[in-house]
Amino acid sequence: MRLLGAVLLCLSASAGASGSDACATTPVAIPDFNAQGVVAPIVVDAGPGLVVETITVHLGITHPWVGDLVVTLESPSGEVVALLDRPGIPSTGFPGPFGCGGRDINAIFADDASVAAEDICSYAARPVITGTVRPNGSLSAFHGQPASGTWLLRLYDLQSYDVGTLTQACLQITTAPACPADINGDGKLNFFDFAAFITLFNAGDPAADINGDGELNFFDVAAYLNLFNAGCP
Amino acid sequence: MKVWWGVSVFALASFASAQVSTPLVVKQVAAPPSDIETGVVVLPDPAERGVASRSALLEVDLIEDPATGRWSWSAGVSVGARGAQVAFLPSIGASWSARIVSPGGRAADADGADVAEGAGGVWHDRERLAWSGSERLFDALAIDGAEQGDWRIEIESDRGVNGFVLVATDGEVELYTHRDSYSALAGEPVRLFASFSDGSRPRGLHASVRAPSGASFAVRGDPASGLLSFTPDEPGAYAVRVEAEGVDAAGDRFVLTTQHLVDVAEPADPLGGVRVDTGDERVVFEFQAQSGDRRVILASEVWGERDGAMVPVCWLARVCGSARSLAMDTRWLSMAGVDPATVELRRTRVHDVNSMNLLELVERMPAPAAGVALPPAPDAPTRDMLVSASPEAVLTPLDPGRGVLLPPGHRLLLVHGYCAPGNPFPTAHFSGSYAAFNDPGANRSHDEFALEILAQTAQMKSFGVAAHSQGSLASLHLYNFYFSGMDWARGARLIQTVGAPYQGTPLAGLGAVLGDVFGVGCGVNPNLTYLGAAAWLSTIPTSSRQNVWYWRTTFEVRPFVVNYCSLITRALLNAPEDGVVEAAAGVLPGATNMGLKEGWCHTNDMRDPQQTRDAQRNAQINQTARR
Repeated sequence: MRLLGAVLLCLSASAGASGSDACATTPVAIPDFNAQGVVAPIVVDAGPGLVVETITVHLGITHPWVGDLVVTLESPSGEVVALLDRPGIPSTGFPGPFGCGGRDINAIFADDASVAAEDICSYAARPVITGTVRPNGSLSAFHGQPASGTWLLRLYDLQSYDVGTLTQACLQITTAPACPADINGDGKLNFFDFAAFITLFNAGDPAADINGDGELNFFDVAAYLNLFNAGCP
Repeated sequence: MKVWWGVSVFALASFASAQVSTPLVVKQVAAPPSDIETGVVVLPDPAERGVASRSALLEVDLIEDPATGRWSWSAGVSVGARGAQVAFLPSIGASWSARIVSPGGRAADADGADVAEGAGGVWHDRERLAWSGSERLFDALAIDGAEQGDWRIEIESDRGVNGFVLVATDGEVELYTHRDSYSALAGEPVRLFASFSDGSRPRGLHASVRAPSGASFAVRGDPASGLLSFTPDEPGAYAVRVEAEGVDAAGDRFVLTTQHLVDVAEPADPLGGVRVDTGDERVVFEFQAQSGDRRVILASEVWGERDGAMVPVCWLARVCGSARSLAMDTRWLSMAGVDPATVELRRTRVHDVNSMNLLELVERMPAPAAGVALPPAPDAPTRDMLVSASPEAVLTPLDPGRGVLLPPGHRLLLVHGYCAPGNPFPTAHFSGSYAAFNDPGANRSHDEFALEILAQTAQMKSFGVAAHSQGSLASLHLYNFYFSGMDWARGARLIQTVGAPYQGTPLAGLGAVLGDVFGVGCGVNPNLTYLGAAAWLSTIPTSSRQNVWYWRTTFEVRPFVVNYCSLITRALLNAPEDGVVEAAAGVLPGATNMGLKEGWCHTNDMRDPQQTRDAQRNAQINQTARR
């Protein structure tokens, strides 16, 4: 592990979110054919000084025509990433001018997914968007941003005649300290952090493997000193 | 966000530039080997798709009597126990004074004025000619067989007004004429064969042909072989009236005719062999490009070797433009268990997308797909094996920016038929979301018709169909070949049809011939001939047909009267029939047959009510329709 003090906020990586996920209060009705949309806030309390290392979003939506939907996620810092943008649009053939007419979403949005949510349309599958899918934008845009705060999931239904509900929205975030040299995580960089590092080093704790080469030696001490000397933002 | 303002705006913007042509990714259609083995996607022998007739459409060429200045024409009709029908079809209305005279000398005027008192056993009707698009009324008489023997038809006029008389005697002998090919190309001979049902040879055989230019010519047939042949020199619709003269068992002379519509096309560029492009999930068979934007339906069987024997793998078809290719999901190879290196294409054919004229047929083409990675075989073909997106877009005349744009939503679409004045379904019979397709008086090929439906439904997210007559075939064509809102409709039944000529009607040929005389308003339609329908049906696999529920109707059978929907078309159709469509030709194998109901006719000017007005059936359609 390259960064000391990484925190796994949510351990679950399956479609069924665990109780440790940071989730929105659901259900939330998505107003039909409404450009204002609806916001589902998700409060994340990851503790001070932790930033996003990885993030995935577990989304459950019942909707008879997913091609109507636009879903975005806004971080506490104001960064916005589109998870879904009217899948199937534009189209000159399949699935048609109104996008994917499939029903329902129950999927994990993750950057490393092999299939894009926008391309997963089919006639028969229900939910039509399921499994682990790649979001429309890149969730890596959130990396390094503070994890704690209120995240805003915005949902828009931009075509009439079909109405849906948000049934689940959970964030799965792994965090890292904003300041890796702040070993004890008290928000201050001082002697006590150095002492904590030495304690870990002497104990043979892998957390002291600062350069991540699998060994504890002089080079880890040198790497920590470089981090310490670089200070904290 | 991509489309903040809603997709209808997108659609309009997208199609606004489509005044000339719109590129569409069309459906790549596939069918399992069973569709090949059962002949569903195989062109039937054209000899089995000929026209049978116990009637004669006689050309009336009035002759002037210099002494009186009157013009006249007469012909004898031998009436047996099953009676006869006579329809008078002058080129100009109210120009003939016509009557029939019984063997005993009793006369009945064609206009029916004295039928009741004079003839007894003669019935009169005055009707529009179904599908003619003409408001003109024509007189028709039925002789019920009470007085048998030689009757006479007599026509007089003060002018030399020509036309036709349609005579059906329901005699024992039937004339059968058929083409020997689905192909009719400019510069290549068109052959028809004629034979009598009793095995006798015609004494005389000839045909009258009207070319697209309007020029007419006669073709002398060979009575010994039954062959009539002519070589069209220009593309377009040729109207052919075959006239065969015979002698029945009693030694009496008779004349029977059949009417054919032969749509002649310019040849297509040859396919020129096949190039095989193997990908991860599908194999693409590519052929030589077609010059210009001519659209065709390209279809082929795929075969391969398994255990030393060639077996069918699947069947492929799609609408193509200049780029001609077919894509096959590699799971078909896995399911068939064949060696990809042995793949060959069989009966690869190119049809004109509108007339279904067969432009090219290649019996066998090696198309080895060696090296293709075979995925696990599914237990049964999946939907995405049967329908996928075409390898490239096709330029189409789709133009939703013009004309009718029906309301948005999820709807049941009421689709009228060929040459119809408008929606024939009473809207009071339908509830919930529905919309009426509106293309009055039009004559379109199935493909043009389908694209018009697609254009009018451009705002609909999804729709199911209740269709009448040709609208049924056009809807099925749309579902089969193009992506549309039909693909997303939900509910029980996608396409429900009434009075659909799935296997054609002889009225298509009649219309072609009569159009010469009094200008059939809606024009001719080669898709609706027996031969054209067979060619089209052979491109509709079972998986598409299974989405159709169809009803047929026929006239009410009342005792002691001559029963019919149309006294004119009765002479051409095999009962039971609805005045336009024979019940037998209204069958769509592979679809759900909802039965044949008496007391309903095809159009609203026939003797029984129009078949689309059956409230009981419409309620069922409304309740079960996908939307």
